[in-house]
Amino acid sequence: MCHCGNYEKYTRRDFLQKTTLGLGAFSMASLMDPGLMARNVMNNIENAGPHFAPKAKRVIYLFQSGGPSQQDLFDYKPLLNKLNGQEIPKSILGNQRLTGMSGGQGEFPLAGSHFNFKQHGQSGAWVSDLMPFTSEIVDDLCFIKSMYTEAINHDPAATFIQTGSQLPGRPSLGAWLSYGLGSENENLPNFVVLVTKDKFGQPLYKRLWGNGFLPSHHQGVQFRAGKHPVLYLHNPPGVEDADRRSQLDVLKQLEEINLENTNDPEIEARINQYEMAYRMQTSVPEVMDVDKEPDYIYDMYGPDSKKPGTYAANALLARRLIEKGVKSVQLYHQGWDHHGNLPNAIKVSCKETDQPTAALIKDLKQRGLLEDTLVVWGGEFGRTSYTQGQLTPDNYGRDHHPRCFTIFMAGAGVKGGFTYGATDDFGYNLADNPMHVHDLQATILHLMGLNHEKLTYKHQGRRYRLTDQFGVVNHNILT
Amino acid sequence: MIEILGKLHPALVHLPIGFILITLFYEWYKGKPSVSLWGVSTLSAILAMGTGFILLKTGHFEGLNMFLHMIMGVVTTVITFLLFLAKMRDGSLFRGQNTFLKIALIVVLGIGGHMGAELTHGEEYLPLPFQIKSDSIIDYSRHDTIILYDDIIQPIFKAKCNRCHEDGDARGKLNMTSKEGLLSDKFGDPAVKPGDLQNSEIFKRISLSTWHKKYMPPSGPDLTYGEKRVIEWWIRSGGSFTDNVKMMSPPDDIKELLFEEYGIDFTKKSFYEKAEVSALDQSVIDKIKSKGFNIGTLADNSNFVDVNVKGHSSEWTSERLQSLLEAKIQITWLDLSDSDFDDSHSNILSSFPNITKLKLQNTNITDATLENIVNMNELTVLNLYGTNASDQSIDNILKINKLEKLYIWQTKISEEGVERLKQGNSALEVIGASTL
Repeated sequence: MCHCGNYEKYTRRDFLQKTTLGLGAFSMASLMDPGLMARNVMNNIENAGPHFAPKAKRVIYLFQSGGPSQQDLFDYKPLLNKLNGQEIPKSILGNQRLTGMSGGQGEFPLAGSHFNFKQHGQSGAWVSDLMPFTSEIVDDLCFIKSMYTEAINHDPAATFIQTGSQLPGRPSLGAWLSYGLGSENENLPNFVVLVTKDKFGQPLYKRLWGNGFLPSHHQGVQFRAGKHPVLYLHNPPGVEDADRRSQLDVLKQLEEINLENTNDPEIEARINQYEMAYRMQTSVPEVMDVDKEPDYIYDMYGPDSKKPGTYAANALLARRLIEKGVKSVQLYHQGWDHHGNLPNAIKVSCKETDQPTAALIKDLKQRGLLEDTLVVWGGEFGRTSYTQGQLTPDNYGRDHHPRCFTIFMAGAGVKGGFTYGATDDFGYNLADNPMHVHDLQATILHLMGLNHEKLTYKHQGRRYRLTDQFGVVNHNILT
Repeated sequence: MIEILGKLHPALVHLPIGFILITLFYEWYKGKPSVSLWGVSTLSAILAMGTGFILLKTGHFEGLNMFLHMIMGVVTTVITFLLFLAKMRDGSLFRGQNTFLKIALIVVLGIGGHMGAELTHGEEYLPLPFQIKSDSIIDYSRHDTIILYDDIIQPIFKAKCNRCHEDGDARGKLNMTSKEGLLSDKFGDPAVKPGDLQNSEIFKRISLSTWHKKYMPPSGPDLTYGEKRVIEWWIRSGGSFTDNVKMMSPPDDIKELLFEEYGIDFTKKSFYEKAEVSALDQSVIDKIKSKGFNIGTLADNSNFVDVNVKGHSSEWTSERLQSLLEAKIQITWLDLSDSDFDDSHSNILSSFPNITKLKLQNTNITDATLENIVNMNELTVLNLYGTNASDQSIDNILKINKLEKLYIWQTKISEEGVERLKQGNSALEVIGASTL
């Protein structure tokens, strides 16, 4: 007789909890019925939300990986140009942690931006001439100039802003949204990830869109450019659709036997994923088929938008996915990590992203989708006001700076033409209304109708949240 | 100097309590009295009583509870002294009343001690299981029903001040439980001088440095920043005892505080956040789902539902749409976009009175469909992009008074039509008219 599967149904911790909490016979009943055990003991309820009427039903997160320089894009600091080349005052520098890359520098000369700033729109938001398309839509944007984070390097900072913890292992924002709100379209994943192709820089890794300890069907599914958007989704040569169907049916029967014996929720997830993959064989090519998009749409998103895998093409795809009811779409664009040669390198990043970002927001707006779609643009941290490496008349660089950075949001429930928070005149420290990464996460969940303190998942003996034990919803930026 | 003796009272009262109990126990256990123990009890009782009088004199106490406590103290001392006398006379005195006196002593000592503890630690120091808290729960969601004084200011006082400044025990001769007490100036500046922050004693005391000897409260939890700010705003704006929060039109920073501390939400509420409807039966929800719709309540405290078409593309039959009629009261967001919905099905729309957001974009509807939406009195968002709606619908659209946003990209509505819309409803935002 084999008992091997049995003791994995409940852990020693579960046993002790159930029997020592004085629930005696009642708890024994659930020990006898493993179905109760596997599903109820954890008290994890899928699709428990919305907790209150949502403003946003979908979110598109445009992640600018590497840390865009706020001083060269949105956070206008004329003082830096005035004091260009002078040492940053000790009182401003403080004794904040610096990276090993610039921390050893003998001097920290301030670097003024090489780019011209102008005020735009009725709201008079400052945007540099690096972002000509974004500056046209500032009246739809909500800038947060006082974001700050705790991590100083890419890996922990990106993990922090995407999963709420610097350490790997927690579910990402999109996974939490899927867990809390469920899906509107069973033919497509609830959380889709689009990474700009052929970009280099700081690595991206699946944990940024992973499900952590949440059931695995909540993880982000990466769609690739080219013939096979989702790897291994197509039938190999010689396998007909009917063959695939009958194979899946037999597999399902086997899995169900296994599920009966072990009650492992991961088996259920696996069955569902096979079924979804089967449906995606038709739904994915349909949503990825951008040939029918009219030319004026391609003109809006810019020349790159016809090249699959570019940020522009991904932005267009994001809209198509949103239209089909996908809850979260996350774009990643690498290459914002401008330690040196910033004036030239940032031009490239802006050229690749500025027009598509603005086009996406305009496109969503004219279709009425911005009404209930939230768009978030931002990186994992900001950059220093002093130069990293040599400051020359035509060159400078900026190091990582977690103390302040700028992001913007648009759409459902956030004020348009609004700027929240401020940095000091040096663009180095927070001066007004700081907003922590956890506050941003709490606010995004709030817009989606979720109370960040109620959206929990019990794992390893305690309940986890996206915002851990922190985070305050920022009502100032909400309509 | 003499004040210090008064302050010793709360400590010294424990002496007679202890000695008297020991004496009684000794007498019961040994079966014979100890004159010296009774003597010590009497002395300690006199000491406690004496310091009590000094405290009463120097501490500005007032109120019925204080008076009763004093009486109990005096009676305790007197009975102890009488019993001491009786024992000294070898039991010849009060032979008949001995048991009665001892029982009376225990009762008076117990009540007097309890009252003293209440005066020192506040009325709720001893949480007894049979004490029922009578506080009613305040509904903070409607700010025109929240009386600032009754529902916010007095509860702050109750939690942080009234322990010492109450009816039965008004220290500093200040009773903070009533309007009269707060406005009374019989002991210097009044606690609250409406409109005059500088001369309102309460505000002065709570805003001192915490180490200042006049800082209030001297013990127990301090007032929070938000509580101090709300009290400041209340006094400054006239110290009304009757106005509701909405009438007082708080400035933005106070609104923010009231939201953070009390959850009073001043943001504009949508129809579906204010109105209430009955809950849908699960069987109806299941039925609608089986017809190819996504349906879910807007929130876990709302019975309104949000309905859209699964996958946004499907074959339409009247029968499928008919299933929605069972939820016609509850549906407030209806999204039929990117589907084969057309005029032939559209008369069903006239059956949904509570729709606030209607999405018909990328469907085959024409002006005929829009005949059916004129009775949607709560409609605020209407999306017609990618339909055949034309200028003929403008009169119908203008009949919807509450409409705030209209999406008309890729429709047949002309620039003239947009002008007419804007003139007819100045609050209407028309999006997608020409180039954005």
